[in-house]
Amino acid sequence: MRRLMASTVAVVTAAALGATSAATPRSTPPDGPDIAVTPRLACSTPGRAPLAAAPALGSGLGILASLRGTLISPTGAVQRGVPAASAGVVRHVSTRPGIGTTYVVDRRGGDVVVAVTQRRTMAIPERTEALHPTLSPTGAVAWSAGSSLRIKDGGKPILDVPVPVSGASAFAPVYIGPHELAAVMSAPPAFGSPEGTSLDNLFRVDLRTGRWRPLTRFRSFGDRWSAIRTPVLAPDGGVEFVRVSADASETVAPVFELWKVTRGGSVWRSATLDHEMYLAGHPRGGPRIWNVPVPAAGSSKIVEQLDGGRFVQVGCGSVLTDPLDAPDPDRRAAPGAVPPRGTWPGLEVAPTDGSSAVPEVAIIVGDYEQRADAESAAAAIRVAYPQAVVDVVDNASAPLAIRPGVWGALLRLPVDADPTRALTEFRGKLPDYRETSWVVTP
Amino acid sequence: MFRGRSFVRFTPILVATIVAFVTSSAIAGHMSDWVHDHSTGAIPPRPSGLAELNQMFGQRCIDRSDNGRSWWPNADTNPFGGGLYVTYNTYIARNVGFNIRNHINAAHRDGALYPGIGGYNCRMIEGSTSWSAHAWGAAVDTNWQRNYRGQTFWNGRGIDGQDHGTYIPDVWRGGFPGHRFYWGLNFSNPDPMHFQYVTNY
Repeated sequence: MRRLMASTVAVVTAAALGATSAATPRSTPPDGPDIAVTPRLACSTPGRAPLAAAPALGSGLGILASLRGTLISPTGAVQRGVPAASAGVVRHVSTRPGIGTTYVVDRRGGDVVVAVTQRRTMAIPERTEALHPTLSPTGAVAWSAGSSLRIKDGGKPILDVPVPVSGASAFAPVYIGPHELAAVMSAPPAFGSPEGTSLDNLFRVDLRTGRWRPLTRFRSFGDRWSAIRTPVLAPDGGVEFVRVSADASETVAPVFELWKVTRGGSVWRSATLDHEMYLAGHPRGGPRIWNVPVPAAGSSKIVEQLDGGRFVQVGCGSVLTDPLDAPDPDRRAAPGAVPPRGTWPGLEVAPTDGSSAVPEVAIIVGDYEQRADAESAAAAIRVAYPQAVVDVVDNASAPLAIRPGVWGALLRLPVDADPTRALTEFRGKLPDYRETSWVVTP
Repeated sequence: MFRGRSFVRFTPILVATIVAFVTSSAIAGHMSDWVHDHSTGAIPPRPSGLAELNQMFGQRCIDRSDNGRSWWPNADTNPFGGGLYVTYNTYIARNVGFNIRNHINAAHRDGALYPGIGGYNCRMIEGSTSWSAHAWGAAVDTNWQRNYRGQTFWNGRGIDGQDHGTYIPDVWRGGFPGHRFYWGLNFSNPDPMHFQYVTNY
């Protein structure tokens, strides 16, 4: 008999399901609830809700996750005898019911792809980063090596399926047929932004022909980007995924949405998510499981979506996603990786050990085309800060604070000012300048 | 007083000595107007891991993530070589503005900069459910047109055409005389343009 974690239950309020699509819609989806999650649950210890007995790796049944770099079950039991796990950080855990379990052992440099089925255990060393392994209905394993997808099927040689677009990368494959994958193709970095996601789309990949065909046609423009994360096979044979979008230059919360591609190729948005969350699949062929990151705690919850839009936490850790509680070995320094420091007479000037006697930070309001406008702003600031020094500046008088050709009103802060607190206070006193004020060096 | 031949012999030495004196005096005099501030107020505690990153910098992609700014010449890629505001979290505003930007300017090393240079950028890491350190305004990329991700070395040639070696990375990275930023050249998939104020992330 199942015992659910009853200590805390996140109850959500259902709303009408959004039905618009930015891709190529083929039909109108049914209405349904928007999903809201209240992450009130702590995740400092592994989950204590055994939905089933701790699953054997080769069965692919139940939920398995990465927690603090190890492979665990919802009971919190650390899996014993996990192939290769002691060599690095376990991540991107994936199960296929009745088939088995696969995951990556992340090491500095080349990783190991591990696939455990009833018939065999494979530990496949890679020379590069390996991402998002997934099992086929017959026990083959596919994964991403960045510029290609790679497939190992039993004793056969590894099949390499390159991404057809130069500079693009592929990740998160999922089997949608014995010889077909759905995978995310990520466009090359944009000229104005050398790293980070710019545009992802989902593709159908035929492993027999190597042909890639788009399933979605999302677009990006300017600093606006669109990402696809955690595509999973739905019980009806469709593919669900989370779409994340934002404007990289704005300080506006990114948008998280649940989307679906049906077996027939229709694409629609199923729901807008109120919270950052990523799919963890349908491990029992039924209810949807989610990863809910808790960045402030450096951890992640696993929650199950019940009927009526309710959610219940079933564990802690990361399923399919990057672990938040185990540092990436690839980000750590290695001896000899970087050149030694040079000798720079100016750099060697001894620093002060205490706060310097000169103001190091200021708040500027700008940029104004006309000096008179900067003068008006300065006058308003002097009223709010009668004891402070307020100047009208340009690039000649404040070359680090403002660009050439414009003016600003500069409020010099005390030598020991906390910039974050000072700006918050400033904007509280002068809300008209909320969008046009920054912390600068005078 | 020099005799004729001695004067001819010693003139180059004299000129060189005068030039060296004037140059060093110029550098010393210019740099002496400003010194680093390495107090914890200017170089605050550097977070380790995601939880500390959130504790010290706040959440990603919020107002304070890009509320610090400074003007950097030679930073823009369009127009190429134009100036640009680089924005970052107010938590590191003193370190980036007063220490790093000031140092490059005071040492007359703006020519060591090369497009592109950028700070705040609300994006996910490609292929990952993790977010870039830029999303907190906790990272700056510099000279990226000559230092692409995947390149295994630092190209120190600036917009002035001179090879400045590791001058720019040395201002950013490590302890004194640097300013504690962690260099992306350390990553196993090296990112020489990238300097972030967090480790283990």
